Amino acid sequence: MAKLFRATQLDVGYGKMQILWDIELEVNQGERVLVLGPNGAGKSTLLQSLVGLMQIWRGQIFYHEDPIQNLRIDHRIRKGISFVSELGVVPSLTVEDNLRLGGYYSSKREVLQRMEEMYEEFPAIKEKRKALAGSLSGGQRKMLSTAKALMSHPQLLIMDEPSSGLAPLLVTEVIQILSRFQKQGLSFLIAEQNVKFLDIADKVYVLDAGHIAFSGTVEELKMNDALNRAYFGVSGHSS
Amino acid sequence: MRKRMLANVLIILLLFLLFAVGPSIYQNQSLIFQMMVFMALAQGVNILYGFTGYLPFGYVGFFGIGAYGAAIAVNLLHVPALVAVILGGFSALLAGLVLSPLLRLSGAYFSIGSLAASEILYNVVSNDSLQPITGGPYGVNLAGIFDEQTSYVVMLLLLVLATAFVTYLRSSRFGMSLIAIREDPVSAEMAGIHVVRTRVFVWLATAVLAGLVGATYAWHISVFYPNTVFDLSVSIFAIVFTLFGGGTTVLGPVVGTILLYGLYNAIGISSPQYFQLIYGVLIMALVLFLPNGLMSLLTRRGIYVP
Repeated sequence: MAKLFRATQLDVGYGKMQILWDIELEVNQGERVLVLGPNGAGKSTLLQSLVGLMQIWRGQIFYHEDPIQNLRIDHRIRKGISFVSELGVVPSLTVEDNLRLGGYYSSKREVLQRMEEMYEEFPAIKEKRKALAGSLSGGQRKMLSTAKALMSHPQLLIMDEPSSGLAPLLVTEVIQILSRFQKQGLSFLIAEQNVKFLDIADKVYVLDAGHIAFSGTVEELKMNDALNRAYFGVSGHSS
Repeated sequence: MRKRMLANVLIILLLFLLFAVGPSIYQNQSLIFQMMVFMALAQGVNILYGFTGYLPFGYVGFFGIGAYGAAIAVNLLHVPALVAVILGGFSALLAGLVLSPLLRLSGAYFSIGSLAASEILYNVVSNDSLQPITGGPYGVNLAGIFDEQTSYVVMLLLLVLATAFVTYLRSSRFGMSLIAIREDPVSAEMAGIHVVRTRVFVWLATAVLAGLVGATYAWHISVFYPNTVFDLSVSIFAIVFTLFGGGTTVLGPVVGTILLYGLYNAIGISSPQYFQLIYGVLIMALVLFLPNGLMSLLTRRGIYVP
């Protein structure tokens, strides 16, 4: 598989406090990559630094093998990277306007066409197209933020905790939707603490206190202690 | 969509007609002119606060700099009045550029910062040692270019322009991007919006608007002092009128200005004590029951307000 996105020797921090150490990460085309880790492991910081919301201290980020760490965020978006933050929608705009915002750089015609595609994929928001995003339920908001990020026809969708605040049934629905888009060739980099996302992952990174504690396939992870150590601070084999 | 566009165009047309025929119906042209001044400034505040989230207590600074920019252009460069108005707008643009680091602040810090900046501008302009240029505390006399009618027409055009700009923001992707920046800069940035550049553009556009209005005001009244054009109540009025009517709408600042400035002129000058009381009660009621302004009475019911 061709390399789509890669980060090497990444150090990131706030002020003088270092949060991430020597991160090595790779997403190939059409791949679903999961970054697992408990609260405070540095998952959100990692994603924010990858999309350009945070300055990196050291290291390089490549997209299609071109260095992008010095690119402005809007240029990264135009190249095909999209990011879904935990909130991800503008509450005082309607569902339709949020989608329009997602296609900020597309022509009006493209936006309308893509909007219809999104409504087909996310029927729950179609019914609410004229409603304010602030009036949607948590699940609907999550659908909207994902649809909004997809409006720009990205090649790589970076998602920060798509399951946060969602009921288990809705988590399954989100996973199903993401799988559909993966079949269309979209690559994912998802930061999560919900291990249910392992069901769809091609590759997993376990982030523990700012360090990559494990990288490999789901099968390899099952034979490794990294997840137990990151979540419970104990070895799986000793219990 | 077409209906909304029609409503927006109708508002601009009605506004134009109202103030174009106003002087032939109502004798006090000065009041109508001042109402246009405050309405245009309120639209400036609307753009800056309603759409972008910056509450500019020091907005009067741009108004004052515009007035003084035009006055200096007339008295020292001897340019025609219309060129002076443009130079007034340009002075405000320069002031806006110098003060653009204020945009790094947010909330109350920005409001206080902009207020302090306008005080600095006032103190510079009224400084005695600058008397040969600004007239210092003794003010400016532009009697040589006094033209009540033309300045009125220019003010009307400025008001229409400001209202048309808000109409554009109300229905364009650019306006939507401003709301996104106001509510969630991260989300806006991730939609590919250049947050810093957009904020600076809006800041400068509203500075130029206030500068042009200030310059036209100076032309209209022809004699003024630093405390006339740097009076904090100019900012306060523009802010209150916007909030009373409802920000992020075209109609809000128009309705707010007509009602409150009308009230001010009806009782504020003859019985200031009652006016202060009524004004206070109105503002309290607004904060408690209609924090999004009068227009929210309609928007709450799902009615589109231009």
